[in-house]
Amino acid sequence: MKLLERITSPDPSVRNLSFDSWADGQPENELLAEAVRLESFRRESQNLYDRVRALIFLATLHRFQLGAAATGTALIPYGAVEHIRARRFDQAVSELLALQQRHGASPALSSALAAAYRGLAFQTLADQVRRSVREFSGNRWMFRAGHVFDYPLRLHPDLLAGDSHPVLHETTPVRMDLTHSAWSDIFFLAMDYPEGARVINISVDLAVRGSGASPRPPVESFCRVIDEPVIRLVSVDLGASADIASLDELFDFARDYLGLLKAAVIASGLIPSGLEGSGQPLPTVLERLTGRPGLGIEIVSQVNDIPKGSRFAVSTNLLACLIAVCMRATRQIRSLTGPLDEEDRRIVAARAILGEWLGGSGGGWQDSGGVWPGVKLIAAEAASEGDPEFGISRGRLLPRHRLLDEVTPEARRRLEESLVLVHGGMSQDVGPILEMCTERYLLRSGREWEGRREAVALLDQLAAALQAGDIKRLGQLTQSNYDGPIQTIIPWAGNAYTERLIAACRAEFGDEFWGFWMLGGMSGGGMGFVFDPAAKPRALARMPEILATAKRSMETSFPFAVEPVVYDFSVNDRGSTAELRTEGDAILSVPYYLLRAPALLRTEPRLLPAAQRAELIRFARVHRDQTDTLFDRMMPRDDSPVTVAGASLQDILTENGFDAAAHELLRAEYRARRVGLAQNRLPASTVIEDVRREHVGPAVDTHETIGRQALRDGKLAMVTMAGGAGSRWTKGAGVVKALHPFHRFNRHYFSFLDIQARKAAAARLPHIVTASYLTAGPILASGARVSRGRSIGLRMIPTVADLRYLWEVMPQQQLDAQKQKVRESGRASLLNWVVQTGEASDYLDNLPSQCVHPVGHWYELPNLLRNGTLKQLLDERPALQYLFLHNIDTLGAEVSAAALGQHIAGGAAMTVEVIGRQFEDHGGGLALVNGRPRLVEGLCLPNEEIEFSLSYYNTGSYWITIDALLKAFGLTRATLGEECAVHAAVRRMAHRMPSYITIKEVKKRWGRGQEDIFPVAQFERLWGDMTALEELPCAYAEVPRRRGQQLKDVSQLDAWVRDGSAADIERLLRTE
Amino acid sequence: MKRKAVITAAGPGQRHLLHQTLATPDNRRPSIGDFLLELLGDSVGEAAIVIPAGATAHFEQLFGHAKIAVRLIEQNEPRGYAHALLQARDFVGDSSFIHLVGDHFYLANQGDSRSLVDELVQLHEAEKCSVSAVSPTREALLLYFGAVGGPALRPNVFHVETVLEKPTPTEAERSLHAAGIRQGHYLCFFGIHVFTPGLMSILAESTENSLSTALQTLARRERYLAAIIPGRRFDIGSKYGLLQAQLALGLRGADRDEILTMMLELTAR
Repeated sequence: MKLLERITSPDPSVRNLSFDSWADGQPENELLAEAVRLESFRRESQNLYDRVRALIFLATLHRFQLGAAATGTALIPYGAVEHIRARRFDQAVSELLALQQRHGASPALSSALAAAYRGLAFQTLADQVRRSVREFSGNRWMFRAGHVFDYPLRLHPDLLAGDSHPVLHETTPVRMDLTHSAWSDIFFLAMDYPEGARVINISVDLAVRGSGASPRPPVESFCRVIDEPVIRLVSVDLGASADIASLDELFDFARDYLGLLKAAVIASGLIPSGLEGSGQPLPTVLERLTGRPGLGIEIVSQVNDIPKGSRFAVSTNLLACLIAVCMRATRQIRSLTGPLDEEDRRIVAARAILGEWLGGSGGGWQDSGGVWPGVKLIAAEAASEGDPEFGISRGRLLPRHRLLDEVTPEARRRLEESLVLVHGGMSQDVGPILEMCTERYLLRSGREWEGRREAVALLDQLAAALQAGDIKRLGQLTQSNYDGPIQTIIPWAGNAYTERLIAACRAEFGDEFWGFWMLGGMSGGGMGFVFDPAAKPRALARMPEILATAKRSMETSFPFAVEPVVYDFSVNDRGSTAELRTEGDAILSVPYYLLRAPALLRTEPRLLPAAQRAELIRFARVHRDQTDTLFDRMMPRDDSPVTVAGASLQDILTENGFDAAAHELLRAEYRARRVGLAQNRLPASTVIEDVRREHVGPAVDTHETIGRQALRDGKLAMVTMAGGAGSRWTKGAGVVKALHPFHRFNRHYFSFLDIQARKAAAARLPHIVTASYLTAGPILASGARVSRGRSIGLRMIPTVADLRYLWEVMPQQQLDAQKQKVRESGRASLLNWVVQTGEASDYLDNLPSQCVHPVGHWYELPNLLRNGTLKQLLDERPALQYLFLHNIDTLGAEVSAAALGQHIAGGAAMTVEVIGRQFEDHGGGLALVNGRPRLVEGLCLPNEEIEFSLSYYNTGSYWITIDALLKAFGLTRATLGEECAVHAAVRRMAHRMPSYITIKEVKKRWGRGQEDIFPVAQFERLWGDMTALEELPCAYAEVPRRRGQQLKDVSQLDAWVRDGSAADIERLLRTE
Repeated sequence: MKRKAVITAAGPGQRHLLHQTLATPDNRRPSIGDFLLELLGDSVGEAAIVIPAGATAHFEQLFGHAKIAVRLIEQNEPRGYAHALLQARDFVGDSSFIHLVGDHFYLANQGDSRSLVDELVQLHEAEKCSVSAVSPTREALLLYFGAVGGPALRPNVFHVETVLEKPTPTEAERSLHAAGIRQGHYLCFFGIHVFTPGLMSILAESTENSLSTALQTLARRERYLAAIIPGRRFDIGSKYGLLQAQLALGLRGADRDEILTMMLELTAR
């Protein structure tokens, strides 16, 4: 049974056959023939999900099977790259297939086809979800109301009654999922496989333990009329507020921290989507809404102390809470106060999905579960006639919620007595996991598909245990869910930190620890630990310490966002509910006034509008106990972060040999635009061509013999570069990527460094790890032999010109329409930030370690000379002649006798390993520059088109002859001991190397786990530029892709496992 | 058999509405009250007008010369529309009755000689059930009207299953389905109904003062239809409603060009 039949067969047992069981091991011609059938099927099929499955089959076929089997050499046409970047996936496919027809299949073409098919599959799915959300009954009108005369809503009269405007207050619990049946709440998945999409989730109230508060609904919102014709948005928890005076401002989501409130205002219909770009004045719309000129609306959000990444879907439930309050105020929900009825909850949930789409975020369909009370089973439903999804997908967009009344109060009480809820402190992006999950589902990959079925079956057992109040059994089941299906499907849902916590609980509580409960999409943030009720008080007392100890030991290798916390919790039996505060009670929350009142109190009381004065009087009457807190808020504080950052920043700079004079010079040059992104590029007159076959030497059998001998003679050392901050791996979180235990092999977690060290040990080689200010301490503590960095740079605020160049001139992958809109609005704010902060000024407003940067890997090898590591090594091993230098994340890089032999036989000073270019390889490559072969960085190519005409990409792995390198530096083994000579040599060489300005992303953490990402400018020098030196003869060797590819992004992990790279390492570790 | 009709005009601000006059193309100036009685035509023998408490003298003057018998019924307390209609319970007795709201001005489509009320009465007689005239109305105006939803029996005639008073478009989209109606439009009450006496019983039992709630009950208890009738209605109680009604009436006659020219002049200034 070939692939197409696995899509079209009416027999589920055929449809559920895995992709791999046919595709693995097929010859190229069979694979191509099947690709042709699938391509023609996906173009003709009327069924959305059949099309998507065919697209994912095609993407996988090209990415893995054809990518490995194809023998052609055709390169990727730049036109196709541009189509993919602009999300014109179909056009890209056509262009690539036409080329494949003419020149035959090649790994490069297949890689681009894989990207285009994958992009098209996810675009098709996302478009369908968007259509379904817009077509959901009750949402459609909002897209039609395009003029103020079409505006159909009126404010509830009770909100306009009385002298002081009444306050409508909504509170909503958050949801905790007992099981999501292996992420079955992903829209794509539930709409294709409704029978497998089931979730049990529980609405809970929370309080951070130790805060003195009792559990209460974690999210709240307020809505009231104000005497100004604006929409005032206030986020109490983020400390942000804005008076929105125009529609354009309202639809500008990423302009400030109020994107979620804006999405709620729009998704609730208060200001319907159709009004976007209509040019209507907002005060006129507000006049129609309130029935009076000069009035506006204030909407306030408040999260009660729950840090981000809690896995309780706080943001979705806050969105739902805001939507509910706005819908009540505009009479779209029948009852102004009290709980919601089922119909109202459904429309609020549908609007929350719409709001998430508007705001460019997205969650699963169970996330708004807090709107419902108690324990509920949420299950997808098959689409039937009359549904917008009917005939398109098998399932409906919105699931059905059934309250599990059979879970008795006694069972709930037992649950409350056993479960300890915590936030482990990590806040991670679940996005890549959800995409992996969708792909694996569509491919029905053997073990993963089995895991999914197991997870679906587990739900019934969990429900039964909960109904029986058998919490011990429940704990065992949640633990086996985590150990089994969850990590079988997505190994990265678990992590070493979580494992350590589980082990600590087991060790300390033995049989009294009943099991671990993963909440949400992945572990590390919100988590549950189930204990014998007798042990729970002890567990509550001990968990803070267990969490803190584990965090302390791993915080350099894991991106922790907040300090871990333990919660008190209770099951919420009301769901989202509202009250109306009138007359003397018409005030908002204390935190609201702590945020807003200081500004009002600085105004002369007689100048305050009467309503505000009256409100402050009411607040003062009710909350006189807040005087101290208010006083503190009003007085200036002496803990200015800049001073603190500045002081310790200076320490870091001094300790790491910061060259202030050189920095001043660079900053002046940058400010004067003499250096910058545009200036990185080589002159347009430079002739850059692809190398010819003869420039890349193949390894031959005799090389292996030479290499073996050299290894036996102890002529080689391995140098692993680990000075970088791994910006892409953690999106600028500033952790030591080398130490991140990113994958589990044979039940144990291994970090990048563990793997590289094992490889060096297996080959019995001396192993040096080069490190920077950021990574040296932790790497040293791990026991590795470290070459300390001696160079550091201070980050700068980029120039507007550079940011525009980055976003407008340099190639960018366009996002889905709404996400792109949000991205552009965010970029506009960043440009404002740059102007306000000062272009090309020093970046100081962050933790000191986030203000400095490593200055590029060029320095890592010269640092070996400067800090004496190489001399020491040569003293220890005089026979040493060669170095194998590679990046920490080039996991396939290993010492191969053939490669070493090839380097020795070639006689070059340095041999560079290159791989055949594929679609995802960006950043330069091997080229003939003015007739001479050398590596060129992507940064300096005059245009991007050239990059795709280069056949080879640099792997960042180099074989180096030590004496030849020293010679190029003007040194010898003898002069290595002369510090001054070495410093002068390195400085001389550094001056000959180009400095590139790059823009990197850096995270700034604030509040309760909130994160902002800022672009910062830094300079770097890159080792590849050594190949441009006349006096350093270089050779180039093509190596297999698995050996040369680097793991830069978490989203690459899935492909890294699928292409067999992980298995290679597992074999290596097992052999050892 | 001559039927009875009930016109409600007891709402706040309605004291003077029926007295308002409109200029007709044949240069008459009948009052809204006259228009309403005229609309009832020959099929109605007697009409009751429910008016605010203490307004009998004010209205007697208006209906003193009516062709049909007019009975003025005062609503002693201002307890809403449904309560106002219930005041006519004794008047209608056990018979079906025609009901018109007094703050609307009705206009048959130009060139259509059929009487709007007769059309509805005929349907009532054929189907032996309550019938309400409805008009497809765009969603932005939902907040002014009651609206119905239900399956179509035949073109322009619907079996009412749901009645909502001034729904939001959100509610309307979810609950008021009617086949063949343009997207974003809903079947809103036209202001003319023929009710069975069963409605009066429901109103008497109901604790809510909402006609729509009573009609929802009616739809559950009895067969209840809605029909799109060929005409337009103007809510003369709303801002510029009377002006709109006057313009619509004027533009149908020989003075059309004159009115358009006048409007253009006003616009140009």
